[in-house]
Order: sequence, then C-alpha cells, then structure tokens
Amino acid sequence: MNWPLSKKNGTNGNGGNGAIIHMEGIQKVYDTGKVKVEALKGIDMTVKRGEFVAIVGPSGSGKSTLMNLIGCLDTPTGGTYHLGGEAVAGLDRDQLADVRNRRVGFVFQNFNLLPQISSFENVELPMLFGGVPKGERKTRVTELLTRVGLEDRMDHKPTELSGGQMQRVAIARALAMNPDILLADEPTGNLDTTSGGDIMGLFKDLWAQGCTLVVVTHDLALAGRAGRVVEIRDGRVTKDTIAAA
Amino acid sequence: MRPGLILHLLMTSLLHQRRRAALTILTVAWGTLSMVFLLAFGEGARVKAEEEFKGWGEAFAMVHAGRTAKEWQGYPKGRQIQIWSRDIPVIQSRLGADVLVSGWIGRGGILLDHDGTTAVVGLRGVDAAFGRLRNIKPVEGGRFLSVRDEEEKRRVIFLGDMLAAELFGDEEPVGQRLLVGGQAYTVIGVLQHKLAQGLGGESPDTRVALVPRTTLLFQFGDRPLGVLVVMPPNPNQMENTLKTVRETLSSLYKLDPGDDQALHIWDRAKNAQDMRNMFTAILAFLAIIGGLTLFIGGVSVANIMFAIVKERTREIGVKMAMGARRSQITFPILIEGMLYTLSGGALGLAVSVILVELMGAIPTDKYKGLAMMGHPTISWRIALLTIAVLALVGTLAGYFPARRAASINPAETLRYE
Ligand SMILES: Nc1ncnc2c1ncn2[C@@H]1O[C@H](COP(=O)(O)OP(=O)(O)OP(=O)(O)O)[C@@H](O)[C@H]1O
Ligand SMILES: [Mg+2]
Repeated sequence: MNWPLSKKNGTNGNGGNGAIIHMEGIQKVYDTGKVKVEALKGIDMTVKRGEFVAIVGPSGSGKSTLMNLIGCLDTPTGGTYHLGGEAVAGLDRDQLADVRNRRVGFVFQNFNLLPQISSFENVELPMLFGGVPKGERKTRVTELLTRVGLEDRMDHKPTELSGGQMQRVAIARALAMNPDILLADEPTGNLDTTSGGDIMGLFKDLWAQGCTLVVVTHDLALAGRAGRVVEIRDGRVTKDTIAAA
Repeated sequence: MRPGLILHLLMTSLLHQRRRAALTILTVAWGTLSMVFLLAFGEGARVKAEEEFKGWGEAFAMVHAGRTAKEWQGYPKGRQIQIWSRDIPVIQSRLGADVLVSGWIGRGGILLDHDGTTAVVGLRGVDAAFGRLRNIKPVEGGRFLSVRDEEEKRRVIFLGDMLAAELFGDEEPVGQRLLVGGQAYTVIGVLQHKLAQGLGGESPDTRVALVPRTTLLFQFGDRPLGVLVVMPPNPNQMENTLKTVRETLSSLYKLDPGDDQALHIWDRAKNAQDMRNMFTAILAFLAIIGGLTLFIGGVSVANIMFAIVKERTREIGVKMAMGARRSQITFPILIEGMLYTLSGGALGLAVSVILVELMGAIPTDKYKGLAMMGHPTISWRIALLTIAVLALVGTLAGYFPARRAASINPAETLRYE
C-alpha cells in the first residue's frame, strides 16, 4: 500500500512538469431546476508543487465553486481536471473520498470542527478514515497540534477555543494525512485582523516548509503575502500574477 | 473507523437526545412485549391442548358401526351394522401384530356395591391393549387389566379415580372386593388422574369401570362392540390401516366399501394434525400482529434516525470532506439504529419474561376459563423469532436513514451561510 504519511514530495503523483493541479476549460453549471447558474465558464489553471496561490475576486465570482472542484468535493460539468497527474473524472464516490483523504486538506471559513469532540479527536478524524493505526495517530496528532501552537489545548472542545485557535485546529486537521495540497476558502473571514494575520503567517511557514497552498481571500494585503495571485471574475480567470521573489 | 471514537460520537449523540431516544426505545420495547406476549399466550394454549390430547392416548382411530346407505350384492340399504368382539382377531390377523386392535363392549345401569356404598355405572368390557390405546396409567400399587385376566375371564375391575374415591373414600381400593351387578369382583387398579381434552379438562376416564371383555360377555351375554379401536405403530400408517379395516369389515358384513354411513371412522391422528395445523395458523397470526406492532417501533426508530441525519448534515459533510468513505458514513448510523432497536428489544424481552414468570405463579387451574389458556410460555422458538424480527426491524430502521446520509452532497452542505 502506498502509505500516505510517508510519501515524499515529488516522488509520486506528480504529473507532468511538477503540476499538482492541472485544469483545462473547467466549467460548472448549477442546475437548480428553474435557473441554470453558470458559475465557472472555462478555467485553465495549473498549480505546481510548492506554490502558494491566493485566489481573489468579487463575491459570487466562483471562487468557492473552484475550490470545491479542486478538492474533489464536487465534480465539474465540463473540462478536464488532473489532480497529481490523475484524471478525476470517472472516479466513483469512494475513490473521490480517498482522493480527498490522501491528497487534499480543507480549511473552511467557519472552521467546521465537530463540536462534541476534542481538538485531538478532530485532528484524528481524517486519520481514522484513512486507516492509520492508533499509535501513529497519537504521535502525529500531537506533532500537528504542536506545530500550530496548540499543544496545551488538545483536550479542549472547539467551543472552548477562540476563533483563531479553532482555525489552527482546522489547519492541523487539514494536514493530518500529509496532503499534496492545502485548500483554504477565506480562512480569515471569521477572524479579527490579528488572528487573521497569525493564520496567514502560519500558511507562510507551511509554504516555507514545502507545502502547496491555494487560499481564497478578500483581503488583498493577505493575498500579497502569497507567491502568486489569481483573480477570478464572473467565472473566468482575469489576472494571474506571480510576485517577485 | 475504530470503535473508540464511534462509541464516543454515539454516546454524545445519545445524551444529546435523551428524551427522544428514551421514547423510541420504549416504543420498540412495547412492540417486543406485545409480540412476545401474544406468542407466549398462544404457545401456552398450544402446549395445554397438546397435553390434553396426550391424555387421550396416541394417534389411534375409532370405528363405529352405523346403517348402510347403499345397496350391496342384493342387500338393501338402511341395514343396521354391528361389529362383534370375535371380529377383533380377524382384523388383527389382516393388520399384523404391529397394529394394536382393541374394542369395548358396554353394559349400562350396573350397580357397584362396596359394603353398602353404591354407584350405578356403565360397565365396559375391554382388553389389555385398551390401556395402551387410551394411555391409561394406574396409580402406584395397582395395575391395568392383563391378557391373562382376559383369557381366564377373571372377575377383576379397574376404576376411574373419581369413581374409586366415591366408592372407597379414603380407603385403599386396590385388593378390595366390589360387587358388580351382584357378582364379587376384585379391584386391581385405579386410574392415575389425567387431563384430557373436553370441557373443564375432566377426562371421561375418571369415572370408568373396566372389566375384561370376556368376563363381561360371560356374565351378561354377548353384545356388539361399542367401538373398535386401531392404532398403527406409526401415525403415517394410519391411512393404510384404516383401508384394511374398512375392507375387512366390508367383506365380513357385505358392505359397499365406499359406504361411509355404514362405518363411521374417527381418525385421531388426523384430528391431532388438524389441531396442530390450527395452532400453527393461530401462532402465525399472533406473530404477524405482534410483528406489526414491533414494526411500528421500527418506524419510530427510523424516524429518529432520519432526524439525526438531518441534524448532522453538516457533520456528515465535514466527514465526507475529510475523506470518509460511504461505509464510514453509513456504518455508525446503522449501528445507532440497531442499538436503539436492540435496547428496546432487550427491555421488552426482559419485561415479558418477568411478567410471564409472574403469571405462571398465578394458580389458574381453579378457574376453568383460565385453565383452558394454559400457562403463557416463552419458548426458544418465540425468543429466536422475536430476536430475528428485531434484527430485521433494526436493520431496516437504520438502512434508509443511512442511505440518505450517504447521499448528502458535501459541497452543498459546507457552503458558508
Ligand atoms: N449549490 C449552488 N447552487 C446554485 N448556485 C450556486 C451554488 N453554489 C454557488 N452557486 C452560484 O455560483 C456562483 C458562484 O458562487 P461561489 O460561491 O463560487 O462564489 P464566491 O466567489 O465563492 O463568492 P463569495 O466570495 O461570496 O464566497 C454564485 O452566483 C452562486 O450563487
Ligand atoms: Mg465563497
């Protein structure tokens, strides 16, 4: 078995040219019965391993839709998408679940932690789904929570944490299976400026450690800290700038 | 998923909806109770009927002579037929030694006199085989009529337990002298009290006075058999046995073999089978009624599970985003549905066992209506059937909500409102 926690960056699932995300002409039409909403109208985008991409754009432009497609939470209605060199179209539900488990880590604006269990158990959850043995889970959860600075909050329930702390638990959870890519949809949207800055700092650290990140944000100052900024308007990529290193 | 976290999530959810969970469990318990109870009563009545049936003896058939309804070989119809004790050896030889053949002759209005204590009875002349046929067991110290009694035309008499009590009171009857129609007889045995089918559960044998058939013939003269009784060693040979009996008697008395008025045959084996079939039908009916009640319990479990799935839509969406497979979403829901159902079932079963035990302690024998019902009994069959129905109900109650949970679209549920 290809053990997800021990896989090395660049040695597997790397597709051509080190591209983790490779999209061509991606479309998404929401069919609500009465109206059809064309949320994405043909997105071409490639993200290489080790990149930190900020996605910006006005409300309703299709950023979240794009993130859901990247993370295989949803399937496109047109175009082709390769994640880590693997075509996503045609995978069944359980295969998509495995892709989400192994390759993708999600961070949400509203954290989406399970309120009735502790930080520790929340971070443990993806590893349970991934079949990681108990001993390994314990070390890894401890390591991750330490990494996000919450080693002293492991037994706290989410309701006993501040917004910034909850988001850090969520980031630790997203990293639990050592994914190819970390996806965050407005991770600072529910946080005050200081906590938001801390989270962005944490992302930068992760980037420095070699993680690949795609982050949606409204905050242009935060976007400026990413290596690359992609602007989306009305379902299309309108700008793609790589910051000077 | 590992059981640890499943259990944890389950317990928090159970605590969260204590009241609803308690109500649901009670509904299932009630359904289980009704099912077990209905079946226990049915089973009790069945066991009782079976016992009374045994009191009559094994699977035998009785043949009564009647009037011919058809002409045959020049003989007119409307002839009164009579079977005689001398026919018994003829029939016996046709059937072979394996089949019991017996019969009694009766003589009414005979005075029994023990030192002035008297009773008037219908005296019956029988043979040793009769005791086996009617499952007659003597009280300890006595015996039934033997072949020797018959051969030697001994003046011996066997009494029903109630008749013996009337004549002898507290005295030991066995060995005593008794005047039978003016002749001195010796009491050789008394019937062990037994139950038999019929009103009030009193066997007609409790007031019998039995003497050897040969003795009765000798004292009162020959007379036709009241009834001829046959019993094959195996109930499934009954059909052939009766066919032979009918053929033999038809040729002896020049009867149309198809004349069912001339010989009335009362087949006890068929009767027993009919009774068993009837009880099977009754029990099946009760099981269906009980099962339906239990099913309503299952619907309420499904209901609570649907509500739980709805409440946890976001939680399920999050799990899916974290890479939970379909089975990892559905399994805890199936388990939870099963848990509600089985806790309710266990409660219901426990209560029914206790209630049935308590009812068993009530002395019902004094009240005829209750005595007929027997004691409600929870047999293994009932317990296993109930558990099987519970498992089915539990599976269904979890299956549909689990299917709904698996069909949740994570992208939709995780949209930020
Ligand atoms: N499940 C859905 N059903 C129907 N329409 C949808 C659905 N999800 C999104 N849309 C529509 O698609 C378009 C893009 O929505 P999306 O959520 O991707 O925008 P966004 O860029 O993330 O906006 P915001 O910055 O406000 O989060 C919008 O017009 C939205 O109404
Ligand atoms: Mg959005």
